[in-house]
Amino acid sequence: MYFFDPHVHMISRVTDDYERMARMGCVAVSEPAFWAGFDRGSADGFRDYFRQLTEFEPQRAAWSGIQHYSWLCINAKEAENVSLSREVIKMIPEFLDRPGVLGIGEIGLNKNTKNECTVFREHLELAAQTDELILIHTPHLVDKYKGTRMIIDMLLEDSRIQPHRVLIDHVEEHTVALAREHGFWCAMTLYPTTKCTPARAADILEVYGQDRIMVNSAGDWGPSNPVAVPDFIQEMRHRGRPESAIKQIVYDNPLEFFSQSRNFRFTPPDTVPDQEPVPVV
Amino acid sequence: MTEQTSAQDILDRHFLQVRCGLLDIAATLDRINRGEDAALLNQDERLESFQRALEILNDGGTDRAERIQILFSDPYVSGWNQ
Repeated sequence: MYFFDPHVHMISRVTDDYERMARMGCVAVSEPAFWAGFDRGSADGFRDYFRQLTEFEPQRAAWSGIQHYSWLCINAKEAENVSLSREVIKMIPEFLDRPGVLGIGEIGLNKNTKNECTVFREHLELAAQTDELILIHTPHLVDKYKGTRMIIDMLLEDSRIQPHRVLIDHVEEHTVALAREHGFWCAMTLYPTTKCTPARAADILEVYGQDRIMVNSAGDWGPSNPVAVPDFIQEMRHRGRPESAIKQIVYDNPLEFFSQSRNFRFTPPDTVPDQEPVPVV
Repeated sequence: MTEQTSAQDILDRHFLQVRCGLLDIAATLDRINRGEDAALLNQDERLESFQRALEILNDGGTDRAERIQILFSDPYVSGWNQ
């Protein structure tokens, strides 16, 4: 089955991962800007990062026949530095018209601090002014429930923010209803221990339905699995779910959400014309 | 719920997996209690939350995962942004 991984940090993964993903049916990925494992020292560090996301990663993905899209922001963890965040937010419009840039993300909260809220609201202002889609990171573990509710409160403060153009990510059993009740899209992250397992993601779908929801691997530099979406597909098959229902989650829903972006140009895999072999690097 | 699956089928499929999970929890709690400083952990909030989670497991119902998630979550205070 063809699938999207709508949230994966391929910059942290090796080219072999693209190849494995392609062999398992991945046709497209979207890569949000995130924390590199250390706090960057300047806005120029982010400029280089955004160039990598918008220039090199699409090329590297294409070597395996995968279409690559990206999201730009300063992540919630580094948002604690408000002055640096403002420099980065000011720079983001330079990149918003680049091919494959889907919007502002992944913005959100990390430890639910005042500074994080300030920077989150300033990202929302940018998204509203530039009419961009928004991809939201919700906090980890003990901070998730409170942080998700705070994020929704801030989204609802601004009447320009249209819920159908916002994706709230990393939802779990206690936050999925919060995200959905106001009309936002949401996504479940398949992580080995700290977020959803494929089985729990399938449970959540059984309870809450299949509209406006998707799954991702959020593969990054930590413990994670860039082929977690195929694990989810297999879990759904074990439960006897029809292929059309599985495809809705791993292909149709991401396609519907991303199609709202002016920079989303997607070539469905069944329509790719014959081409010369891609050189192996 | 969007569809119903046979409870018997689910139990058949997951019996060994749940048995394994319960043994993992039991063995980990035993390991903690065998530690030389185990008595010092009597007031540790994490162990207390484990006990409350086990009570939720014993409650029945169809929302135990959500309730355990809330148990391990910081509380939300409405009106925080006023």
